[in-house]
Amino acid sequence: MKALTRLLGIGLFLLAPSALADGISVGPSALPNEARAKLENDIAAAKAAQPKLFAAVKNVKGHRPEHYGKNRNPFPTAARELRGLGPAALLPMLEALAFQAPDRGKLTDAEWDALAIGMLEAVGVIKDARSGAVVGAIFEASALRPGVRLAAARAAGRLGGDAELALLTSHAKSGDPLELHAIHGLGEMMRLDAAKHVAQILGSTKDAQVAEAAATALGTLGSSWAWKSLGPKAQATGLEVRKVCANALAPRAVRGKAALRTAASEALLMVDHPETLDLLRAQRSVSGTDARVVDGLVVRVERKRQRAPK
Amino acid sequence: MVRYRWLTSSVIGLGLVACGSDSGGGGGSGPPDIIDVVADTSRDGLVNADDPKDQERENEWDATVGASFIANLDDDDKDGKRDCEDEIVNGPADLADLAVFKVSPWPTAPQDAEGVVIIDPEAAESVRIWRDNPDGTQALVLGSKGPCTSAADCQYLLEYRFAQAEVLTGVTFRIEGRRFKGMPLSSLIPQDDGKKFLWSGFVDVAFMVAKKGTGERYATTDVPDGFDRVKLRVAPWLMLGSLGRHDTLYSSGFYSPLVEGNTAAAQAAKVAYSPYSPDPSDFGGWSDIWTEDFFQTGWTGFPGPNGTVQGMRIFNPRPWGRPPSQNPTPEQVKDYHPTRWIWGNPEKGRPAAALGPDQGAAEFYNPENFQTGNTQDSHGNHDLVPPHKDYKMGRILHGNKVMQNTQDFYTAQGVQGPPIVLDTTWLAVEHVDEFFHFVPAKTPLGWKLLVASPALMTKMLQDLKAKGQGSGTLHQGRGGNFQKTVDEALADTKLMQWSEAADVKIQGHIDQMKMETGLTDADIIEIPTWFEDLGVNEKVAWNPGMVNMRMLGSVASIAKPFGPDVGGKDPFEEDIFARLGGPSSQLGSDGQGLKVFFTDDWSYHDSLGEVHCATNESAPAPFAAGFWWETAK
Repeated sequence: MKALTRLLGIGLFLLAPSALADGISVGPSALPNEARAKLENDIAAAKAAQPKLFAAVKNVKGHRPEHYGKNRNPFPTAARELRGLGPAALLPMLEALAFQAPDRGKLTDAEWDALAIGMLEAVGVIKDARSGAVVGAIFEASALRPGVRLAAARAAGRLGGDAELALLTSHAKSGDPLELHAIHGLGEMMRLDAAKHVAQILGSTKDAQVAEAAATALGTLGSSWAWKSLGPKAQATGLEVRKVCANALAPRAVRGKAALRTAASEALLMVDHPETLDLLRAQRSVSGTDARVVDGLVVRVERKRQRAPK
Repeated sequence: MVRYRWLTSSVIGLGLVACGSDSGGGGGSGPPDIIDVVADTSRDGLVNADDPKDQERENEWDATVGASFIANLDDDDKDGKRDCEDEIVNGPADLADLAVFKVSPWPTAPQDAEGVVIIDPEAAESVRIWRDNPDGTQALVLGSKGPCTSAADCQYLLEYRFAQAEVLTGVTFRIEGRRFKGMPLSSLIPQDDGKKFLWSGFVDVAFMVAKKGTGERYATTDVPDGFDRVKLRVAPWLMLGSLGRHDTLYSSGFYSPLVEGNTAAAQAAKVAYSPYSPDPSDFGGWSDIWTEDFFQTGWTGFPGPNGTVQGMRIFNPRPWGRPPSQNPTPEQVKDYHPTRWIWGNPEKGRPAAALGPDQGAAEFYNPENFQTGNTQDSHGNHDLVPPHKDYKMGRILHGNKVMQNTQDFYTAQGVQGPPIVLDTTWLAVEHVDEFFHFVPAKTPLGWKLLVASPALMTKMLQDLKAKGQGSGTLHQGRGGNFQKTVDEALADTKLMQWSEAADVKIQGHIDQMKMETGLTDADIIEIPTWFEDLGVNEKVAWNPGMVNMRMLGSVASIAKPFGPDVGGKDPFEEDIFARLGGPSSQLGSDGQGLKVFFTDDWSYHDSLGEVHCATNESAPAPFAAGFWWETAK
C-alpha cells in the first residue's frame, strides 16, 4: 500500500515476527466470546446454504502475482474484486479474516496483506454490524503490518456504530501508537460526534502528521457528494457535520505549512459547506494569513460551485 | 571566420607564421590565403563557404545562427546495430544523417603546409567524424573510434592532420552524434561533486594550417591566432505527443475488441496498424500489453535543404520490463526488457520492432538503473503539452515520482523543458494520461485539453435519474463492482466520496496547467469520469476512462463507456459524439470535430488502464510545424 509509508514507523513496533492467527489477520480467540459464537454459527449456516460464495471469496485473484502482474501498475489489490461480490460475501470474508485463512501458498507479505486489506475495505462498505468484533480485534491486534491496521480502522469507521466510535476515539489521542490510524478511521465515520472529535484534534494538535491526517479525515467524512448520496433525510445531519468540518478546516487551509494547507484546502473543497466563503473571508483579518492564499481558495470554491452537481 | 587576407605584418605571437612570409603561398596581390572551416551556420541545409550567413558568427549558437547535427541512432543498413555503433557510413541513407562541415580550399597553400582539425575532448567522447575520400568513400578521422561499448574499447581522436595537397583542395567532413545531450555513456567521467559527466551537446571544431614539422601555424589578418573555429550542437530529442503527425499505431493483439476498434480508427486515420502477438514465442510477439507504457516515441532532426528536416524517429524504453515471474533469472530480465522489443534479439530470432531505417532508439536512464524505477516511469505518465507561450515545440508533462535520470534528461534537451510536474500519487497507477489528454483544435492555441471530470459524470447520472432513467444499468454484465443502476450509483456513498476527492485533485492540476501554460476555461473540455479507490490514494477510473484515449490526427479511439441503454442508445456515447464530434467543439485540424470511434477496452479497464495505455504511435518527418533550432533553448 503505497500511501502508508508515513504510518510505517508507528506500526512496526507492534509487529511480531509471525502472526499466529487462524484467520488471515487474527484468530477466533481474539474475539469476544459472544460475538465469536454468533459468528461461528452464522458462518456455518451460510457455508451450508451458499458454499459457492465461500469458494468465490477463496478464489479471488487480485492479490496473486499471475493476475496483478498483468495490471498496468502491477501491485497486488483485491479490494475491487471483493467489493464486487457484494454483501453476500460478508461471512466468507469474516471467516477468512478471523477464523480460517485460505491457503497462503507462496504469497508474499504484500500479497497476503492485499487480500486482508481488500476484505477489510469490502467489509466496511457492507456496513453490517456483525463485522464489528472482527474489525475491532484486527485494529487492536498486536502483530500486524500498518496497511492492514489502517484498513481495519477505516472499516471500523465505515461500520459507524457506537462501539466503533468508542474504539477509534479511544486511540485518536496524542501519544497513542494507533493515533494516526484511528484518525483515518474516524474520517470514514459520517457522524457528528466523529466530526467533532477530529475537528478538535485538528484545532489543537501541534503535530504536523496528525494535523494532516485530521484534515484529510474531515474532508472524507464531510464530503458533500457523499452526504448527497444518502438522500434528503440525511441532509440536515450532513449540513451540521459539514459545518463542523468547514469551521475546523478553514483556518488550516490559509495558514501554516504548505503540506497541511494543501490537505486542508482540498478537504475544505470536498466539504463545500454553504458558509465556506464567509469562513474563508473571515480568515483574512487573522494575523498570519496570506490574503493571496485566501483569494485563490475562494476562486476554487466558487468554481467548484459553478461545476457542482445538483 | 572568412576574410582571407594573409598576414603581411610580422609573425603574430609565438609559433605563428604569417602567411606568405616564407615558403610559397599567396601573398602580395595574388589570391587570398584561406584558413577556413565552415558549417551550416545559416541553417539552410547547405554548407557554403561563400555564404556570409554560414561564415559570420559561425562560432556562436543562438536562435538565429548555429549549425547542428543529430545523434545517429537509427539503423539504415538494417544490420541490427545503430548506425553510430560502427565505424562506417552505412549507405546513402546514413550519409544523409551526417551533418557536413568543410575545410575550404587554400589553392595557394605553402608547400610545407599541413591541415589540422581539432575537436574538444568533451565532444570526442560523443561524436564520430568522417572525412570524404577522393574515391567517394569515407574514413573515420575524429571523435570516438572503436566499438565504444565502454571506455575500454574506445579511442578518442582529438586531432586530424592532412597533407598540403588536400589543404589546396579542401576537405569535407561529416559528423554524427553517439548520444543526446544529457544521455549517459558507460565511459562517463565522475565529477568532483559526485555527479556524472554531462555533455554540453556542443562540438567546437578548430582548424589550423601548420608548418609541417615545426609545430608553427599560419595566421591571417582574419584568423590572427591561426585558428578558424565553428560550433555545432547536437539536436535535442523531442517528444512527439498526441498531436504528432502519426503514421503508425501499435498495440498488442491480446484483446480482440480493442484490435477491432483500433483497426477502424487506424483505417479512418490512414495509419498503419499491425498488432503484435501477446505470445512472446510467436515471431515478433511480446507479452506486455501496455504498449503506451513500455516505450516513448520522439524524434530528432537537423536542417535539411529547402526548409526540410533531416532526422529520424527515436524510441526510448522504460527502464523496467515485465519478466514472467517474480524471481526472474538475469536472462529473463533482459529478454522481457523493453529494449528487446525495440532492438530485437537476433540470437533468439526476435525482430527489432522499432529499430531500422530512420527509426532510432536510445536509453535515457543511466545503465545502473536498468530494471529499476516504478509505475511513474511508464510513459503513459509522460506526455507533451502542445505548443504554447515560449514552448514552441511543446513542453513535457509528467508525474512527480519519475526517475531523476529521466527528469534530468528531459530538462537537458532544453527545448521542451523543464517539464511541468504534477503530483499524481493520488492515483493507483499514477499516470497523467488518466485525467488529461491533448487534442487538436482550430483555435488560436491550436489544441484543447480534455479533462476527466467526476463532476460532469455525477451531473449526467443525475440528469438520467431526473429523466426517469434511474433504473438504467451502467456496465451491464461487467461484474458486481461495476454493474449498477443509475440510482444505485448515485446512492453509492463511497463512489461519490472518492469521485469528489478525485475532482478536487484534478481541478488542482487544472489550476497548475492554467498557471504554467496560459490555458483558459474555453480550452478545456470535461469528460465524464468517476473514480474508485483500491485502498488509500489508489484511485482509478470506475467507468471506462474515456479521456485516456488515442488520438490519430483528428481521429479518436475512445474507451466504449458501456452506459445505460436509453432508447437503444448509450447517453454517454451520444454526449461524446455531441461535444467532441461536432463543429461547436472546434476540435480537429479543420475545427469540425473529431472523428470518434468507441473501442471496447474493458479487459484493459479491468486491469487499470484504457485505450491510450493499450496503444502507442509514432510519426515520420517532418515531425513538427516549427524548427527546434529557432527556440534558442
